[in-house]
Amino acid sequence: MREIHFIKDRCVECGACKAACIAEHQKNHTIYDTISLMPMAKKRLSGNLLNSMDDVLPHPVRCVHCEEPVCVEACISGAMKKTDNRVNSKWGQCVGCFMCVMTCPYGAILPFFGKAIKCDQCLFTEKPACVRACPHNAIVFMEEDEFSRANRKMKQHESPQREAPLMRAKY
Amino acid sequence: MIKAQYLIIGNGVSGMHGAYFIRKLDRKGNITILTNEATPFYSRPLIIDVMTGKKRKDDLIILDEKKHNIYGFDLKKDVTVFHIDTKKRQAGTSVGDVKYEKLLIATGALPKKTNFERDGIFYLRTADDAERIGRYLKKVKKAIVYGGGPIGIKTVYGLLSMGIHVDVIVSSSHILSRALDRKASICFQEIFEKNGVSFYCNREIKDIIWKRGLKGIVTNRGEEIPGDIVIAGKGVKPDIGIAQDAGIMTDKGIIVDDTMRTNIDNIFAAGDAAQASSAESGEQRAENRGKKKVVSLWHVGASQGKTAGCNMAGQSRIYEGSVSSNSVEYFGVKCISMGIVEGEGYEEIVFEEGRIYKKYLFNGETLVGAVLLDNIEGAGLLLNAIRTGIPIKNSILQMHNTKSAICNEVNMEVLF
Repeated sequence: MREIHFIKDRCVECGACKAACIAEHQKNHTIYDTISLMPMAKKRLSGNLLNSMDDVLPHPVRCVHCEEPVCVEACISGAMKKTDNRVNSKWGQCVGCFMCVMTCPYGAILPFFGKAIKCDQCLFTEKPACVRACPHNAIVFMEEDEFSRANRKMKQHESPQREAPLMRAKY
Repeated sequence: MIKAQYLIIGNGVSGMHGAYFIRKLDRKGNITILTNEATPFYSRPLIIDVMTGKKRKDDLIILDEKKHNIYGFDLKKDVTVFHIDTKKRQAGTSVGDVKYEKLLIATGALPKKTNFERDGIFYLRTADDAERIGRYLKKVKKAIVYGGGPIGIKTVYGLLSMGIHVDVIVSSSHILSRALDRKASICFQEIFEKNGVSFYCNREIKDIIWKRGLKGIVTNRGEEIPGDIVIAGKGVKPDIGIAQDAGIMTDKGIIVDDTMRTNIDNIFAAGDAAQASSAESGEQRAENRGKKKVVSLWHVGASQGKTAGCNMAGQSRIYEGSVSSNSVEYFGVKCISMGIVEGEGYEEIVFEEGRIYKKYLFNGETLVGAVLLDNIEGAGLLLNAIRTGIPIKNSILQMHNTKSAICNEVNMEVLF
């Protein structure tokens, strides 16, 4: 299963991923609403992983889609469900008790207007919106082992010119 | 005589999670679920919505009977279990004897009773209770809620949304006294008072006023409070009657070890009825796991049911310990509390900005408890840190020094 990965060194904090995320999750995908809703974009994209607690860089909150998700266990309304190896929250069924926010050990679920939302990896598109929007390829969508292989290669070479393999990688 | 490989008493969250995980590991075993209610697995915390009329009882059902058939669960509704014979391995019920190989007791809890049993005094525990109160509420103009715990305050919130005036009798000095710390609960109390709820703290119900129906109550300080209905939400106590009669070791609840097994080898217990080890002190080492506690929460019941189900199906799994934690939201103000919220001997670190209030309690380097008001992001990280005992004091201090977490909203405005 492909996942969203974040390469911190490449991020220039342009915020394009956030704008794309909001536009994608709107009914008509307009950019005008996106700009007015900008402060809320962080609900979908922000740094909350334990090892990056002091980072203010915008990067996707990555849901791990755990084997036995605690958020699904904690959900009192049955809105959070795991189907096809992905954990999804049904907006209409969520009652806003925030039990999932309380139990997720990765901080991947965030409160948003009285409902809990999480990254759904833009279910109906080929690639998530943030990945498509990132001008520096700082957010990539690939297999876990493929990413770690490319990452290892990148670390071996260390020099910025040698980063090319991942930059050229086709997702 | 019904024969079942796995027998589960109770179709609450722990019972159903147990059944689900048994089915996951054992595709063929016969699973029978007994319940004394008429509804299949439904969401108990949401019964307030049934009371207020926002939802119907059928809307709360999480797993309907069609899906029971898909999973192969044999659900028997409206069944009372009278006794368990641990030697013969059978349970005496209202539908005849049921023979079992392995038994999961997930009977849950019963509401704590008041001293008065009259018409007009209600308890809120099951969906049927909620429906009954909902019917009664149609002729009610003023209500009294007894108890300032999470159940009581949730009821108050529901009644307010119906436009009924509510008085609350609280036996401690402020509401939500065990769930939240003093500052957060007083914040909520002020919000409720602004919305027209009167709280009578440090009081108990001494007597009721009865004139052709319930007309009000008298507190122990002599005040007469008029009202047409009393809803008691004084908390719950584990329903362990049949376990005690069967000779299973009990204290406050049914005592279980880390595999959710009782003192009898093929009998397991989970959920509100079980008294399992707690991970609250922040230490998960074997020697510190002796303390056992009854924690009546949805997600604790789910994880206990999961552990019990796996162990019943033959896969050994250790329960990670329960941490009492609660998440409440009233009038748009969210609050999450976890672990020990108030106590002597712990180092207290507090951050405040506007209404945002964050309190962390540390035992040395490890986190033992936290209260987050209005900004609840990343609460799961803290709960995980309490459970596993990771030292995260420095990263929390660092996070607040860089002001990245406490004023995220402000940061965003600067960025864009």
